[in-house]
Amino acid sequence: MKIAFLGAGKVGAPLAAHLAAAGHEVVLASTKENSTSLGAALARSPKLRAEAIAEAVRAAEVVFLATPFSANEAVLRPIAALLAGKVLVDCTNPVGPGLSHGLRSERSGSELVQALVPEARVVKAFSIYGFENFEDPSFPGYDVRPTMLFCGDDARAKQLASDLIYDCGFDPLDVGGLVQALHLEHMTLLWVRMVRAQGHAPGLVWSALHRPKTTLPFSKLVVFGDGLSDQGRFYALTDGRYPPSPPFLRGRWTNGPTWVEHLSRRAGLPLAQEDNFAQGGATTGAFNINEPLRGALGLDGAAPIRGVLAQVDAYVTRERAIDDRALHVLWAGGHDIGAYLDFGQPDVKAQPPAENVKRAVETLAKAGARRFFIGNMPDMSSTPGYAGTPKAAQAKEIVDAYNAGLVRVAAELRGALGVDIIEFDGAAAFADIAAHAGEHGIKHLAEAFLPWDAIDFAAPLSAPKPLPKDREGQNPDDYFSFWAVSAGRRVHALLAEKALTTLLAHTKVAQ
Amino acid sequence: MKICIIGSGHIGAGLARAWCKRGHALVFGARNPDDAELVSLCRDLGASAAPVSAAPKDAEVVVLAVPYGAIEAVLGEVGSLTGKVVIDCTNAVERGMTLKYGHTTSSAEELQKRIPQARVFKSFNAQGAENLARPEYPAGRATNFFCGDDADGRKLVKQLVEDVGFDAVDAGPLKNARLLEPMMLLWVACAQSLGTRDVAFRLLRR
Repeated sequence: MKIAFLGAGKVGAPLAAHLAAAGHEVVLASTKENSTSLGAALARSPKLRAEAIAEAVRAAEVVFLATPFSANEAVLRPIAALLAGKVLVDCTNPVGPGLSHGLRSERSGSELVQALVPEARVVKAFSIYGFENFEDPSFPGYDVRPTMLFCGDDARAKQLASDLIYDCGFDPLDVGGLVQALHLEHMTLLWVRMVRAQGHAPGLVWSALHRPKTTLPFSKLVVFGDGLSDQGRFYALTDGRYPPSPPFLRGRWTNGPTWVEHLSRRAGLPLAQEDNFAQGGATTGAFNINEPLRGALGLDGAAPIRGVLAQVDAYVTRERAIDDRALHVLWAGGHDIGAYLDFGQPDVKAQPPAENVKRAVETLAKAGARRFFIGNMPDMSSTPGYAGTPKAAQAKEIVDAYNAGLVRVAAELRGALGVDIIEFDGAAAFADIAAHAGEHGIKHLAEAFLPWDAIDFAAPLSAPKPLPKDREGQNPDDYFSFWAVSAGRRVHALLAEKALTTLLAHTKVAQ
Repeated sequence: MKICIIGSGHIGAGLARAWCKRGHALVFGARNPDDAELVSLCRDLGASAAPVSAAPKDAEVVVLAVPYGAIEAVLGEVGSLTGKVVIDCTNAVERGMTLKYGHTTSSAEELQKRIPQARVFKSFNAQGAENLARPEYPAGRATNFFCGDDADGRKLVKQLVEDVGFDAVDAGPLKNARLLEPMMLLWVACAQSLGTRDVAFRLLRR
């Protein structure tokens, strides 16, 4: 996401650095007044750059207001027109004499900001703690992350802000309309008085504890699959160089958190990065279609580029004892089908992908796994790669055979091994999201935001190509697919909702 | 400790259940001490009930757990509170979820003005009564704030907050009650946002 920072001091600089590290394109607005702080902020990360304020704001989707509160009016007035329609994250706090509210508690600072830029979509966030906690949001020794309460009147603006809060290391919690900003500013004063006046250490934050409404009978998620679920396997292997991030978000194959990360948050099921084995290009077998890129990626023969069966082997080898309450997620198959349609191999008829999934479950069950969540394939004949081509009919035939195979395999495995298998109708989930795309703010179904050749496969570590002209100024979240056939940010969030519904329904039936 | 709780609704009864388990001697101050439900609650807890005018007499701590609109009536009936620790659990929230006193004073500060000889504290106001019964969450113990001006009284209040099972956090002088009362509204918003009243703030320290 393209983000501009107004103010790069104690609050702005660390947040900008976190967001750049998370794969966002972050620009610091330079003004006459901030040259010193700007230099220090830029030194934090080579991914940060500075631009004149008008250019920075014009190009941004989201603008952070992280100036001292007293500077807000002078900063905002000249750029009010540029901010029309943009998300403005107000991180400022009016603090007055004696650590009181700077507007005498009569009106919130954020509502004043909204009045200064009436056409911006203002969200109040990153305000309730001192800067020390933006610098370092980690609280070792606790099982929870700090919570960031936020509020605003525009639902889509809040969704974006919520994702950015998460990327900065906090759990976002929506407390309603901008009218709540006055309460949040007084919550800030509580922090300020406790720390600045009463001697509490500044490493002090709130978390919001809650009990999930339905306690799911699982301890955590372990994930196997392809780029849909990949949290950064290649990214880790290539020191953050592949896939190019940005435009991809920190090694994911999309521009936001993946569906499994959303599911983990929504269901309250931990997902450790090392328990997510999914890797872009994985087939259901041991093969990964990125294997031919090994040399170009600078990887030696030992570096893991795995298909699902190889991922499962790596997991089983690593674990001494498999947690029998862990939910093992398996979702792949698209690359089996794609590689067969495009190259004729691996041969999905000789080695049906559903049989690979069966083998994966058998291997896991033998090692002690009892709970599985298996996704089937969406209709690939309507995806950008095959829609309207002679291969569309063949694609449909193979997908149908795979999905029917999964149903059969799940029944066999339940019977033979007594394991708990939750079948997730990924095909229906994708189809339903596409059918209601408009309601979710998705405007483009047929074309992906990034073209296939956004990655140069001859030189995959080279710098990302510039956006095609017709994508400049476009919001990638308006696209169903982010790149090639990889799901966009909104689709990931919606898939997680549907997966959670499936989990809850299954649990209810089981109980 | 001898504690008088005025009010036996969700908050009053919730506090009484927790404190009786810890061996405190508890008397409810009630408009109608013979109310069948209250009598049954007292029987369960080993507590007693008395009219508001008499109940606080021997108590070291008096807890106000009535709707804030009833405070005037309570103050009219109750005997001397001189020297007693008074814990105000009320929230002066009016229709449309607005604060009667805004953010420039609070029900606790206003109460202290009415009973200057008492040692007023604010606590147990900023979360739902569910948390009094279950302050332990899978990810840790819920925090409960208190604030007030009296040095000896705050030790006692801290102990009582911990006796309910909370992590007790001293939020400073009584004038910070004007910061704890809006937190109730944020707690309600969090509960709505998460779709459950089983939600609580926890303070993390580093």
